[in-house]
Amino acid sequence: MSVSEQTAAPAGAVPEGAAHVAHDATTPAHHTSTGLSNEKLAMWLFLGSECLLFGGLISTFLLYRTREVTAGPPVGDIYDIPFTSVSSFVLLMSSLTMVLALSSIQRADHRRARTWLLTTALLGATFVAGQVYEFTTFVREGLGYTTNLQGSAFYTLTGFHGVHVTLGILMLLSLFVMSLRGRLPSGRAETVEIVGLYWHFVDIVWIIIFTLVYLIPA
Amino acid sequence: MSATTVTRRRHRRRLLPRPWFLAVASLVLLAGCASDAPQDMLQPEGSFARTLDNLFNPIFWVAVLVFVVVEGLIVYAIVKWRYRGDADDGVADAGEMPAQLHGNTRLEIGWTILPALVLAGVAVFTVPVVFELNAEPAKGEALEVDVTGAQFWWGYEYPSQPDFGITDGIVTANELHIPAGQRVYLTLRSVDVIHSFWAPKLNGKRDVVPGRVHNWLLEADEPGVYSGQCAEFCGVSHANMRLKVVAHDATSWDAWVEDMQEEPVEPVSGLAAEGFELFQQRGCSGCHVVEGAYDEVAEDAPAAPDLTHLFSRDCFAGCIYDLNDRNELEAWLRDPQRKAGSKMVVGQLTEADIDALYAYLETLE
Amino acid sequence: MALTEERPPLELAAGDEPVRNPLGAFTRPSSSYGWRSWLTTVDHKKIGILYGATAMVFFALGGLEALLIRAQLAQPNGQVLDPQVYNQMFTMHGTTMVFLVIMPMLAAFSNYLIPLMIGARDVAFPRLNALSYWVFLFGGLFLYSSFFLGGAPDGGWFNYAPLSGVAYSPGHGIDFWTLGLQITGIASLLGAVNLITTCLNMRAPGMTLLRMPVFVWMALVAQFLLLFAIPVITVALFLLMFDRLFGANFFNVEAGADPLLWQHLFWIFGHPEVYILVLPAFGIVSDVIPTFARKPLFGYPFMVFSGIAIGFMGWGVWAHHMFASGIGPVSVAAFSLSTMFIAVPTGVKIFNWIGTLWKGKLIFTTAMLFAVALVSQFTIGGLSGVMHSVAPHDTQQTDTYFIVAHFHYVLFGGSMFGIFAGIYYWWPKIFGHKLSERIGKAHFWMMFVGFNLTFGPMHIVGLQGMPRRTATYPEGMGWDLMNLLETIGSFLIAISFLMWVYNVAVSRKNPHAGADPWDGRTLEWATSSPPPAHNFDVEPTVEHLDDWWHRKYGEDEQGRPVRRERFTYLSRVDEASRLAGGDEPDVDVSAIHLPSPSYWPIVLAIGLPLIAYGLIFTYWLAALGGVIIIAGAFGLGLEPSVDPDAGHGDHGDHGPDEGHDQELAEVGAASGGDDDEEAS
Repeated sequence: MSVSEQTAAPAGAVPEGAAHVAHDATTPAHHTSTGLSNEKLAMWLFLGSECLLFGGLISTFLLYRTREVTAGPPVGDIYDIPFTSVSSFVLLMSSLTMVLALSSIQRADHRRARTWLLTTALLGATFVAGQVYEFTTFVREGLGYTTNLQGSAFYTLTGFHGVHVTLGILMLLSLFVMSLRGRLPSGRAETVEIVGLYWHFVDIVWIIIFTLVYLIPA
Repeated sequence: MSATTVTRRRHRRRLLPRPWFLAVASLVLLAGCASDAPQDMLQPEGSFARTLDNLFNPIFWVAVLVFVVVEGLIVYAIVKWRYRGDADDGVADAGEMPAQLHGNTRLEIGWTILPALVLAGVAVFTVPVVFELNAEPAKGEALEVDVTGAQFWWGYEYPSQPDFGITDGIVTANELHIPAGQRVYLTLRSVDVIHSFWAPKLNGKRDVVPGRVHNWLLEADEPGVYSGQCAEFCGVSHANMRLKVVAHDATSWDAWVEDMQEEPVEPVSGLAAEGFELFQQRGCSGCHVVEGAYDEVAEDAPAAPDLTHLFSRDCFAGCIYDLNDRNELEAWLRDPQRKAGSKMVVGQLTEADIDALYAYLETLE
Repeated sequence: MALTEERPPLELAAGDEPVRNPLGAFTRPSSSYGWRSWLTTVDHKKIGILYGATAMVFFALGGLEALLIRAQLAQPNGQVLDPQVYNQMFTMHGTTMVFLVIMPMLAAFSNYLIPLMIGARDVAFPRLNALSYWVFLFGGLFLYSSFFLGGAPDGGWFNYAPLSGVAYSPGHGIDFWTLGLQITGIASLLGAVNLITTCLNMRAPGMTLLRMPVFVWMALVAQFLLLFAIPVITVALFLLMFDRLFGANFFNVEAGADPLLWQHLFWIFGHPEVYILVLPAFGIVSDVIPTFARKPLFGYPFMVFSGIAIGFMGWGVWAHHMFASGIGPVSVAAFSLSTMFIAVPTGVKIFNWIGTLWKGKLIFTTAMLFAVALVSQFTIGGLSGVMHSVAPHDTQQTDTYFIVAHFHYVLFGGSMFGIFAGIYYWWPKIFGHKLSERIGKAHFWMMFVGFNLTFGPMHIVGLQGMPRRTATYPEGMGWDLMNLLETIGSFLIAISFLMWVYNVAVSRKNPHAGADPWDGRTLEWATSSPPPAHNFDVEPTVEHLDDWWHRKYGEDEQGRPVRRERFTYLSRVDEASRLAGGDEPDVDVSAIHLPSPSYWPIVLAIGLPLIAYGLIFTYWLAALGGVIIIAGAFGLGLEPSVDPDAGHGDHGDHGPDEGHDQELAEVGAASGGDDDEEAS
């Protein structure tokens, strides 16, 4: 078991709020060959794999968006760019609050950390809600999942991203609950950092999707 | 411990295959190469297939050379440096150590560069041929045929081309007729899944992909019949989606074209006339076109071969049955499912029905 | 866990409360022996054995399918199988051998050997490791259950669209295929993350990257390929699944879709997959051959870098599977060139193996026979591969038996022979006794003859124009004799496999082989056979490539190795091994703590096939599966890696820890969460 690296700060050991600036504890570097903790390395590897997953889905969409549709509207005709820009901005802001959450927990400011974690989750939820609204609008305008090629490709790609955001929200809420129960001392700030890596990745993917799928005309 | 090894009884074990095995193996190889195989890609009978073969041959022999050298080195090493003592009780007792060679950078760079050079040579000859085979012939230079792949048969349409004597367009199936010594430019389409058109002695294969239009070239040097088949897995009867290419000399080509452009005569009396009625009653005409008599098929009918000149052909149903054998066609009419996955549905026919239908079909020459 | 001696012993700090299992559904399992321990184990060695045993069972099933195929093709117009069943057989044969035999077999070796070879106590995430195995097992069983639930998939292991769509394959077979492969894909992905992290992070002090055994290197490259290839096929499987289950249009030609999209996605995965299947086997023989040539590997850096080069170049050759697909002459020319040049690093490997044999003292044990056969047979597969790269002529070769011959020389003559070399080589390490060498050699020769008799003639019928995937062929094509020989050969292979099974059965009574029966070179031979749960009593400090060899041998003035009078094993060993000159370390192993067994991996894994059945039959089952997965993910994530209740101060091999070391809940949750999304 890897994870031996977390030993320096036993779970639940540090009373919350204690000024426990545990730099040594949060950098478990000297225990692994690379200096990165196993968990962080694993998350990087996983995200590398995810790049190819989104790459495949984005390529599929780009291939099919230039094709003539046989039924229903082409997806390019029903984009609501201002709306999606706002929800993209919301998601982008959640990356900022994620950073703030991490820095708070590293400073052992748990109250603020929880606030930021919750804010991040809420911003993410706002984005997902926006996506649900967008989908229902599109369906009302005649583009269902099975209507045409572009519909299938669009909903699969953006829906898949939405599932990623949703999972991120679940993780953030789990962190929030753990913190409430005192199970997230600043010694385990790396946990937050790793969830943050995932969260930033999902944000960056959205920036790419927004640019390639929405902004650049077919 | 090395002393014990030296005195240990030596027994040789046979490591190489016995000579009789090698002899049998080479006999088998010869038998394989010598036999008559109608789809042998190493015996090209047309210019394109020959271009491919000419490219393949030297590369094959280079590969054989590399094979002999590499396997020779392995066998040499085995024979020369095999430890002949008994190592079963402990590898560590195998006596004196060989020299501990860790590598030789110059040698290794050498055997990195050498294959790269050989392959560069192969590449120089390969690339131009890729483009040559994809070249589109000038209009009128090649006979144009539209090929349709369908589960599990081939359809051919010859658009009107006065240069080749075709003024009215020709539709046929399974047997592709071409003039020998002439280029043929195929346009490939599929109505269902992916197929692949392949007549090995005339050219390589090209996939027939639904939603796409592909082109492919053929040429036969001499008149003759060339065997081929669908080469991309296309479902339950993939194995039964065969084809023939029939190459004609100039006179027989003209005769074939003329025959194919004549409409068959509608039978007015006798068994054939009964069959003509049955052809519609039994729903045959819902899918099969007979020019001049049954020109329209049902809207959602599965693709089915044009029967206008059925009896000008030698085979049917993906070229797996002999049309000259009356029993084959009768068996087919009795049960089209004798070929798995066949889309033909006829229901129950009496023997009298079958005789009548046969009599009618026979008139479609 | 990378416990080092210099670390202070782990103790419960004052005021520390041990973390309880928060979901409390199960009492924590504690047994380390008996059949139950296999269900809950997180020990990389046991998981490796589970992987290997499962893969060999699937090998028997895939082999049975192959025999049926060969029986059908023994003569023209064969009547053994009807075409529908024939198509199921070759689909399942290919899918089984690739996804359920060779991949897990290499996972077995990687799991068992990587920690031992790099001097670690376990893999980076032992419970995720258990999870990968159970997910793989349930994925495989799910796929095979299709035989009893309406028919197995019959679209080929490549399942080209649109034949794989509902319109042309209305049964459930292909649904089983897409869902089953997604499940095994999750297993592979988890395994890849885990094993890469292990290789990069868990190396013993001094085990620099360029001191890692070649097997570890090749397994590492293969795991990186998996990491990036699995998501690509996952995308393809998603699209096909959405088409089939929810009416999407990705491969619906009437809606304007392009069937070549499937081919590109499939082969972008499929070609790296070939190297995933063969590189670890290369690694195995790169460790076996030096041991039995009594010489170091010739050109270790070249071997490593050529493996890495193959890993990179493997991404740039996929369209050589599509030379006849109509992708346009520019693409064809480009992929033709890239394919030719991937032969260069492969050739380097062949020559370096020959360099290792050269002037060695070649001891032909069964393992060595299999290893040398790999070198020689892979050469044949490589040369026919170069012939395919000549794109114009590949339009003749592709989809014929010439290709079938080629990839069986690569994957059977290469990977499987490498796997058998590994089995005979590491058997004494894993089980403590050797397999019988006498039966082993008979097994080898039978398999060698059977293999070449089966697949050699396929080159000939292929060039004579026999297409693959055909359920039957007419008389008069000149293929009869060769097909008959191939069928005979395939039954010889079956006999040889039974000889191996017999060997396994009778060899249980063989005497203990000792820690180092082959005078090995790498660290796994420095510990007892089988190794203790914690692998090494003392963590090795590595100073050389082939460190164990250098611990045993010094050099005389001419640079020849001379066995040292005394050297030290890395754990307590049996008496015979001590008599061979090795001392034992004298350390207290009670401070070594290993993660405790857990029920959660198997519980979580069982949710995945439930979701898959649910998607096919009724969504209620899928909902149940989803609940199990979420519960499992939280259970796994929040459960402390080491059971706080398990006997304090227990000084056994499985010394439990005090519960400091939690695998991060979130990492567990993240990967668990990913599971549900990939399966939904």
